[in-house]
Amino acid sequence: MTTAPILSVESLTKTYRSGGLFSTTPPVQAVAGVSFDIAPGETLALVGESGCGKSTIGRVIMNLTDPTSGHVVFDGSDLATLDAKAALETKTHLQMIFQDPFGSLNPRKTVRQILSQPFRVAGISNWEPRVLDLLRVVGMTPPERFVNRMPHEFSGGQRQRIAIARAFALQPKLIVADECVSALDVSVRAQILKLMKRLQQETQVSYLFISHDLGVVRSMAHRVAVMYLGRLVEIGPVEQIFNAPAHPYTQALLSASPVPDPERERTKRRIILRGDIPSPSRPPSGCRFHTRCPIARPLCSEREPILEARSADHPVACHFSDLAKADAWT
Amino acid sequence: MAEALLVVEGLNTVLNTSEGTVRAVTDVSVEIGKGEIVGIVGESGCGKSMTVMSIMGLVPSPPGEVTGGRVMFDGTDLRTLSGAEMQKTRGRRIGMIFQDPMTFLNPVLTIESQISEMLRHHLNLTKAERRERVIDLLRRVRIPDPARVVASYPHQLSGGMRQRILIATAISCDPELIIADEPTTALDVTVQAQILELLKEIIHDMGSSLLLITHDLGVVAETCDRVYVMYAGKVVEEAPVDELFRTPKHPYTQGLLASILRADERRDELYALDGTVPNLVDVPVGCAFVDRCAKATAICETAGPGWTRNSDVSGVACWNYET
Ligand SMILES: Nc1ncnc2c1ncn2[C@@H]1O[C@H](COP(=O)(O)OP(=O)(O)OP(=O)(O)O)[C@@H](O)[C@H]1O
Ligand SMILES: Nc1ncnc2c1ncn2[C@@H]1O[C@H](COP(=O)(O)OP(=O)(O)OP(=O)(O)O)[C@@H](O)[C@H]1O
Ligand code: SF4
Ligand SMILES: [Mg+2]
Ligand SMILES: [Mg+2]
Repeated sequence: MTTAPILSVESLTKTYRSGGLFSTTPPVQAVAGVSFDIAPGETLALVGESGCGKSTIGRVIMNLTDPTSGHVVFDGSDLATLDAKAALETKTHLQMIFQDPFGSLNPRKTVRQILSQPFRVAGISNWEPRVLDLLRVVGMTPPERFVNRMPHEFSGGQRQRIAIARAFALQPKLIVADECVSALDVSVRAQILKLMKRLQQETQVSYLFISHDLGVVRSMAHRVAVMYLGRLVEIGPVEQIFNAPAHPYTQALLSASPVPDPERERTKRRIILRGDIPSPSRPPSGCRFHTRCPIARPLCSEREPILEARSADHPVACHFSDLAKADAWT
Repeated sequence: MAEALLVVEGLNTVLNTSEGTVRAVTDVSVEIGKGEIVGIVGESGCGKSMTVMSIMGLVPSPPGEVTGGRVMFDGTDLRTLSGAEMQKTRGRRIGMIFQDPMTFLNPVLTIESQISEMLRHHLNLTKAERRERVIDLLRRVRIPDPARVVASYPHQLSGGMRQRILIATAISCDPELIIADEPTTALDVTVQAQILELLKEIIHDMGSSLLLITHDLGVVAETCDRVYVMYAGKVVEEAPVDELFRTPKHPYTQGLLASILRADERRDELYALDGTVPNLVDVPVGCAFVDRCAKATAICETAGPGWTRNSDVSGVACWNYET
């Protein structure tokens, strides 16, 4: 990477200890030693199945929860070490959009109150025209028709537009978007994604795009990070991940994602994985994927594979990725 | 098409709410042949579940009411059956699978008692025979170690396992038809793939038919033989699956297909249909899609388009459909 990354996540680990001091439930290692960078203007997609640790990474980046170990460096500084004032300043450039905009928008506030809040906190007094501008930017025109209404008076798609408008109020540099279109219908989802793409082209914002929908990821992301049970198993440029997935889990994930094309569905090679995802409180020994992996060998249950570069920009964590068929799902 | 098993004609269902009458299902006609897998696809709130509930005689009343139509199942109109007769048909001849197994499974009963209950209700078997059949059913839905799983409770199982239990219950009496409403929506994609594969295989082995409700066109492409597309309570297009995806005729189907992002191709320019679905309390007098339609003409505002049948198995409701 030639430019400095806007975000660096370094050896991030997050362990949740449930229950009290004498609790017998084992701790959950939600994220286990994950590292990645995001460049300015770049979208990195974080994919993987339920419970693999995607949201936890987003929450640590947003400072909503502390990491057990590791660092998050945003725009050159480690958020954990900044003093309060600097942290506040930095945080205006780091925003989040959630899956359920209903949960993230205060139900008792009008759109004007919701959208002016970032300006007021930043000490900007003449915010009314900027609030109206934000609404125009996210396609809610004429804005005068919307500013006095409350969140419950909007559809899911409109609420997500308001959440996006709020995230873009103060020139964000990175937005963590956690399943931000998963709750929306196909036609509304397309509207929101189009909006997010346009805003990225206009502002050079970076996205950490958390999603389990590989169709959406292929068209939104520049690079893709694939997670399984708290571990990064593969990371690389989007077209390499989709055209030449190297990890058997990535291959299975791709082969399991149905595409809207019956002919393809009939002819594509399908990898049906055995069993369910193991519990993250008792991750399998060695490679965490070995219990479901179609090419697992004895070594896989004994030694954990490390994330190694196959090519400079495409590391993979698998002992036998040379044996995994890259064309598996085509 | 294969010999018809279920023929739904002109089904109408409304819900009387404080905001007014919700026209959830309007003039829906759907046909399922023996051995066929038929999909109903459409966005949230378009009336898919209400269509299924109406077919099964399960519309909650109040607020719901089926106001018209026929549901011919193997020659009998299910709407004319008494409550008791309908109950016999459900489970025995028509099996159901829902999105959320927990609403169907009783949390305080073991898996064995849940499935046994269904068998006891519908089939004349001894206790030992029932037990044997339960274990056999679990084996058929590929549950590992069935002898252990029969004794467990729903909360002890994963989402995928619960969905398998639901499938086992649905097929327990060898029904001729299975209706599955979003059976894989709550599941992860690798587990969804397992479940769809299993469903297809079981339907095929039993020679039964499947009516699959989903909002996911990828799932339709992977699973179905024929498809109905619903919009705002109505069927707007019907076609064999290949035809629907290759040459969609209704502007809504076309728009929907153009807006789906696919895992097998990257798009730099995204396409989106403008606008949102209409409120079903005051459905427009003309075509319900008119506000969002690029092909709309004056007549679309004033009169609803009728059904144009293009072949035995395909049709479209649009004034200006793609010919
Ligand atoms: N506050 C918490 N306390 C205990 N365990 C937690 C907590 N939050 C998450 N976990 C556990 O950590 C693991 C990772 O959860 P996380 O929400 O990060 O997954 P995810 O990849 O976002 O999943 P999904 O796709 O379902 O949103 C899961 O096993 C989850 O149950
Ligand atoms: N109990 C109810 N009371 C009032 N309105 C209802 C009720 N149940 C459903 N509706 C309305 O009826 C219409 C059809 O609902 P239905 O559940 O059939 O949609 P659906 O296509 O299954 O949607 P989804 O994909 O979200 O499951 C919707 O507009 C819905 O809001
Ligand atoms: S009837 Fe008119 S408005 Fe409706 S889909 Fe066809 S062209 Fe569009
Ligand atoms: Mg999550
Ligand atoms: Mg439904």
